[in-house]
Amino acid sequence: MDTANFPWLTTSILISDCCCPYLIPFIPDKDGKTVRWYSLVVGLIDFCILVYAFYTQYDFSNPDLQLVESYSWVSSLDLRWSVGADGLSMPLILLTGFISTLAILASWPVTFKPKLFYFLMLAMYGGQIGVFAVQDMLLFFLMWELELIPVYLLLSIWGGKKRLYAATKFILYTAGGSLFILVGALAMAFYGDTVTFDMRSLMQKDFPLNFQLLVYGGFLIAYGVKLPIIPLHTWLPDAHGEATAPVHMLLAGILLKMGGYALIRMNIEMLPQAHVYFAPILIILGIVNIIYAALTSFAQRSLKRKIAYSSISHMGFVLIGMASFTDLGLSGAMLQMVSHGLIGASLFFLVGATYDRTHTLILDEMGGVGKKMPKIFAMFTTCSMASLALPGMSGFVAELMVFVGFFDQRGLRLTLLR
Amino acid sequence: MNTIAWTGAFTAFLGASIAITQNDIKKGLAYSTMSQLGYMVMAMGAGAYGAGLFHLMTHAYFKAMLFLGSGSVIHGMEAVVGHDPVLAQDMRLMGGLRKYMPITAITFLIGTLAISGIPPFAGFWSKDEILGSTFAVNPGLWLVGYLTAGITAFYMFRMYFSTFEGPFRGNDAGIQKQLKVEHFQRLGMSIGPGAMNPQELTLDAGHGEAQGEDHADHGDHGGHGEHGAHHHSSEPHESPLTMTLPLMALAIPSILIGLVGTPFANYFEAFIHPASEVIEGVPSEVDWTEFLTMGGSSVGIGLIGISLAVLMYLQRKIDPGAIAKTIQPLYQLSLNKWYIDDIYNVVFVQGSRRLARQVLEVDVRLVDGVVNLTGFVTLITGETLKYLESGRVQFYALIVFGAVLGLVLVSGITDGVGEWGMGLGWGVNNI
Repeated sequence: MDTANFPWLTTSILISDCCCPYLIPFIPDKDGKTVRWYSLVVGLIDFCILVYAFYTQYDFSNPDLQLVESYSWVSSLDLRWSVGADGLSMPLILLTGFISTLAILASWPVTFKPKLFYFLMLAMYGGQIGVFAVQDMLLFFLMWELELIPVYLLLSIWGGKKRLYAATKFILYTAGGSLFILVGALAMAFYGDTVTFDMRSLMQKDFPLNFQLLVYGGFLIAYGVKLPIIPLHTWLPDAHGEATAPVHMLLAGILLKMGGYALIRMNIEMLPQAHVYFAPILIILGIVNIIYAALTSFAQRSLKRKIAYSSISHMGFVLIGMASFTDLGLSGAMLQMVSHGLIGASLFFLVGATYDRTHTLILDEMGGVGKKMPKIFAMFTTCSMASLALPGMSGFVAELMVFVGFFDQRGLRLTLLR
Repeated sequence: MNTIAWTGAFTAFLGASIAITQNDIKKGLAYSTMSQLGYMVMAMGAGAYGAGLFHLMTHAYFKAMLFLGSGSVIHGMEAVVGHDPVLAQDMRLMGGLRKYMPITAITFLIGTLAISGIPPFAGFWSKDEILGSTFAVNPGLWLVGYLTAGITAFYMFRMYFSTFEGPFRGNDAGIQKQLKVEHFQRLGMSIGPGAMNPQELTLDAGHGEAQGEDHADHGDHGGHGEHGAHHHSSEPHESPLTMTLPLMALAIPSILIGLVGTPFANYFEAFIHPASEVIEGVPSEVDWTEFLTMGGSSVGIGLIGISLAVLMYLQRKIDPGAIAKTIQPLYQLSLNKWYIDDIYNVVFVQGSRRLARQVLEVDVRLVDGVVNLTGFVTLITGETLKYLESGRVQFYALIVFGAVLGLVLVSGITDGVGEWGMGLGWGVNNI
């Protein structure tokens, strides 16, 4: 087998998205025990493929797009199935594989409609990798939607008491945001002489400033819902408050990162002129995000909602890093996304594990949990330390990079004086 | 520089004035530390960098020893009153401990003498150096530091006497109950005014009971030790060697370390400055008159403080309670640590909580409210519009007819205004 030309990314997307989930209905299984092993093995294989592909094929010193696979799909539209990975998407793809596999492991106690549950989990797995890997705007939109529907179903079937309200709110918010993606993508594709959906070609196109500003604004709304940016955040506490632990891990660990990734990939790389105009707004929004969400988190009495708001707060750093116009700030934003993906997912998993045992999320009703569950207590403390950015933990490095990048003289002058 | 110096002087005075009334042995030492740090900052502000650093070093030795000694005392007290910080750390329950724990007592006395600025102990040399250099800069600053030195000597000896001298009060059930009640009252206050602590009630009941018991075995003092279930013995004990050895080890530098920085041979000053640098402010020759006046006066005020403490807490010639009553507001101010904790609690702790709750309120009511309102309006619009699609053809025909009629009317009114309107009007009329 020619490993260099083997379509690793396509395989990893297709395994979890197109092949394996559809076998689930044919697995003879009454209580879901076989299905969960099956899903876990599929998730592990997928993760191993990704790790192997990046380990052997990915050149870390090369900033260009690598592992590119491109096949013609609808030639009349110049629509291609093209995937690839660069420094921006590679860590997020790995994060997705890691968190999704763990989320499948974390959904071990799910006994209600297990086949559908694991089907949706696997479908989401592929959709998420797809979002980070595809290099085609229309395909990106397709993947973006592909991952929405499983989340909606996972929320509305396995959620808490207010699950229907939360799921509806989620789907309306995100589907509303998706409209802007589609409109923006089409506008960019059909602008000028050539019709192309390829991201590389779109970056070459020279859009006028007004066009850029308009598309940038639309994308900002779409991805701002996902990140989330205040005041587009209210779906998040509801969705996070109602989701079960594994869905929760995916929501916090990966879905929020899709917003940040897309903002960097499209708004910054494709619409650089508009980004200069929008950067101060991003910084203000980021600061509002950090302070406002932190205060709200402080006042929350429900553990899940508390951590949900702290996620919003952490995403503010991503916004500031993006708007810093420095390599360091942008790297900090990326690292913040990865580190929050790990910290947020583990915190939400621990909250889920606590909830399974205490059957309450209200802080006032808890107390003395540490004595009964010392291991969960120790891990929760560790994750909280990482979340508060204790020096030596990943959160600290990320936030420090964002701060230093933001205060870099050249960058600050660019942002303030423009 | 001036601001720094005055901040330091104020801190020194503030810490000392709080330490003077504290009953918790560790809190007393903690506020004393704050006061001594004020001295160091004052020295920085007065430009006496070396003196401040020298005090930092000497203070490190004797304050470490004092804190270790207080730990040893608490450890000994726990044998009597049980593992309760409210009881074990309160000096009102101590007294006479020198008999039970001699090593701790001697080392604590050394530390007390050192911090009070009695020669030749370490604290004298460093504090004298600070006061001397401050006097050269600003006599007002010096006065604050000088008075604070007197207060320091007073409260440190108050601490020493009430801990190690006099009769042992650890078995006094009355004081124990009083401390418990005070503790719960403080707790109740921090929970909120009017909040009744259930433990307080049971404690009051227990208090009466204990008093009755107290009367019952009044004649038999030995019986006191068996009061509470957690009482192990009626006498405190000396701590093991693991605690006393560090105490003794720290006692040696507490006595001697000051000698490296005497005005006659200031090795310390020479040590912290590079050899090439000309040391300013330190005269090469010793000015004996100045040294004797400065040193003598600071020893003098130290001795005054000590004598006051002797009169009040050793010989009990003056009743400290009566003094506290006559200057009640000042006493309360000092006892409650100038209410700084309470102000911080109201402004910062409660304030940020209130702010957070209001932000959450805004988030739920306003931001989320707008979202829900959007959904609601969509729903209502849909519900209203669905009556238009009744499925009856006549109704649709009526709407079409109405629309055409409206168009005709509009074109009739605007006829001739524009080319487009004219053409439309002509076309409709022809039908």
